[in-house]
Amino acid sequence: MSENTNILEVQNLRVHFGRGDERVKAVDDVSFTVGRGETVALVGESGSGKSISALSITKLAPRAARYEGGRILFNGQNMLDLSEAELRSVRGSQISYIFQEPMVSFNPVFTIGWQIGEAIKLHRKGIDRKAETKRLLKLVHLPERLASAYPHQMSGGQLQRCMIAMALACSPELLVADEPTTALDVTVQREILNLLLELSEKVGLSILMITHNFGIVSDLADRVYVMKKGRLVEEGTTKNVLYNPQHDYTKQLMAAVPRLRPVEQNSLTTENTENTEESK
Amino acid sequence: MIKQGQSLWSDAWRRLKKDRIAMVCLGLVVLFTLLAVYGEVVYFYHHAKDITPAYQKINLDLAYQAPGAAHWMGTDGLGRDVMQRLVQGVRIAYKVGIITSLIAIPIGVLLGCLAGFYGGKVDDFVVWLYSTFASMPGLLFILAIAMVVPENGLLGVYLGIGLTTWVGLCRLVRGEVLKHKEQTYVQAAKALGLGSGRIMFKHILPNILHVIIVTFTLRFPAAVGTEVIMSYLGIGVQGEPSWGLMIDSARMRLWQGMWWEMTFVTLALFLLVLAFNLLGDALRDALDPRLDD
Amino acid sequence: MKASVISSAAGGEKLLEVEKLNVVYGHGKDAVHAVKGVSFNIQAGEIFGLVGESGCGKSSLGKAIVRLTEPTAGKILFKGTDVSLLKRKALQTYRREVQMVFQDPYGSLNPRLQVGNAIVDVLEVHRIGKTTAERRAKVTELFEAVGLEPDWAWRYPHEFSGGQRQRICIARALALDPDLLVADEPVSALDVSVQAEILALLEDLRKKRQLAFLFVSHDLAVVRNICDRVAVMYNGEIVEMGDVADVIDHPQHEYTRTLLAAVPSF
Repeated sequence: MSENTNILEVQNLRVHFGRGDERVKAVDDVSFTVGRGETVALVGESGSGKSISALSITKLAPRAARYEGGRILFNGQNMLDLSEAELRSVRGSQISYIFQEPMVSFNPVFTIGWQIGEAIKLHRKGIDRKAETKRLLKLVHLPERLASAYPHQMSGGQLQRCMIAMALACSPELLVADEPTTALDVTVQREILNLLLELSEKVGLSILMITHNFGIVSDLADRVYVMKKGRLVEEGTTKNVLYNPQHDYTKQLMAAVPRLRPVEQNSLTTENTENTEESK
Repeated sequence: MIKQGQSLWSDAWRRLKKDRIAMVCLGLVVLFTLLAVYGEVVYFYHHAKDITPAYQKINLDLAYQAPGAAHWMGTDGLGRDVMQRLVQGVRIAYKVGIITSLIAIPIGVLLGCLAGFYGGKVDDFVVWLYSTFASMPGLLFILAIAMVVPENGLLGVYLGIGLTTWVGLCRLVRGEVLKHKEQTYVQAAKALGLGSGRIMFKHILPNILHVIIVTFTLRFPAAVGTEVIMSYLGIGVQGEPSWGLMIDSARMRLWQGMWWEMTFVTLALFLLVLAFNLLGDALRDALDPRLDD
Repeated sequence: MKASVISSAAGGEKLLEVEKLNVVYGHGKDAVHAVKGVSFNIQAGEIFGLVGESGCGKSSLGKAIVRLTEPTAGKILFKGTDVSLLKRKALQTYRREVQMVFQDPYGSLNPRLQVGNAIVDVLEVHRIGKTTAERRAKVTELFEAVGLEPDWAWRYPHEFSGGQRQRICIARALALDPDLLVADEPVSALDVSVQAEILALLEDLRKKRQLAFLFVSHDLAVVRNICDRVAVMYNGEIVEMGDVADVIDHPQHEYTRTLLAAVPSF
């Protein structure tokens, strides 16, 4: 793929913790891309390095993390070369994040409207914040009156929508979602996933989704990367990786995932698997 | 990261060792402890043989001697060696710190556990009790107790401080027990049929021991400081060379140019309190059972 | 909401019979009616699933059966005896028959005790085994039954992975040789591959020990794969119940359908 269709290109990223005997290679030579308007999933079990990879994009990994190598090209520019101040201006405005637990991600003493307003103020000066807040709440299908509500008065699903609203406050090009629905009920999860689908179409949002749930990958992602212990193990279109996994680990995972309905093997067509690589 | 095969205690020790300041303070604490023990031995020896110890011998010829070869920290107004009296002061400080803790800690822990674990009326009673104690002006209460207790000055000090300082620990323990009571391992213990007593003392208590240890380490210098104030005010210790008394008697001499008694005693007090406080802070960090970092 | 759809229970020896159970927390205006008149039964050796979203009352129901929470009304008949009001000694005896495995393998173990000692403790309390040596032998036996190395019994919880800790919790629950195990989201906190192992272990234990399970979960796919029958809970009530294949492939109740439609699956 040529450079201008990829909004994000991570090349040979290495992120390590600790030194000497205690060195942990959280992300070990990982490369992935996110095209414009695409939804890409990073999938893996705990310890696979998927979260650290996503956080590293704007150097949001824990302070102890060391970026030992590789490039992170966002719109052609290497994020690892930027200063903290430059990164701060990217975070929230060009690359936004939403995280796992909406219940604890908000400041309990300020209203939702105020907090969304803060996000707007940070990157866009001179805008009518109230009007903009209303527009954002509408975008995530929340009633306007919630702008004056406090976090504890809202449900997990509503808070997650608020988090999405905040993330979209500055019309970012890339949304990084780290297990955004894991802490939510199944029916609420469905709503949030539908919202993300809708937004990616409406606003042309590119999404990098971190998850361990293959059902979500199947519903949302165009392409998926499978990670294990810091390394990339398989990649490809969702259909290929999920229904025709090549790597042993992916096969093991697919076998272990409990299915709601018995898998019908005969109805699946085996396509030519493109972009399937195995890590060395 | 916790290394394989270690209990949480050894891991805490490993973390503490990395903190240089904490190790220095630990060294100071050990030094003071040795001095206290030495002082106790000296006291006991003289007391048993009914001899007046050197630090009590009045010798007006030697009064107000500046620090020199014979007396490294000089002599006080009655010709007594300041350094030896200082060491005796350490002994008294330690006695106060330890004995008041032996009174305050069991009371605080027991009441805190009962209140946190049983809740309801037991909790209401304990909360009422410690709120009442907490609302009384501490020092006055201590002085009142000390004055009521006849003869032996130190007993009054012990009771006074011990019976008023259990409040802070009780609150802390109660909070921790409340927190742990909701933990799954306690629920599991209940489901497995373990009785309340067993759960409280065999399961919860070891998990809040670190809080008690840190509280002791921080309460110790506070108790010492309180005793110093009491002796300074003339309540409590009489005759024995406690730091409070030494500071009081040195006070007048200071502006006559006799700086040594006041300086050395204050310095010793400062170092002891500082060492314990810094060590307590470091212990709090090292003992924190948060495993993911 | 339509009235609940409950298919008749299959025949067989009823190990547990719950009749119109109610669990209410608090009183007066702030009372929370977590479980509203729930009735169902579990047979010996059956794996019975209880699904629902947060706040539906499934955890409260599980806890009431293990008597960690007190039922406020209704009956819990275990092998014919009403255990909902038992106290002290009788309650202690009941605890040997019904045990619980919790969701959080990290918080379920006392971090200050070697895991083997935690189990020895339980055996001591119930006077199983006459000497410490006998009890330790039982610990070895239990560890082997859950697929763990017996030597590991003398390590601390933080030295184990999530899956291993859950195995230890299962071993601990088995120490009293219960007939029914209430498992409250036992695999929800585990990775997919570990999940599969633990589920296989539970299935294995069911076969070897004729152990029945009340499997509480929010994950319909997991329930589909391990349970024989399932009850769907919503707002404190059971809205649908039946064989797991029936309920999941042919849901009758509106809520069940909504729930199934919401699950992202492939």
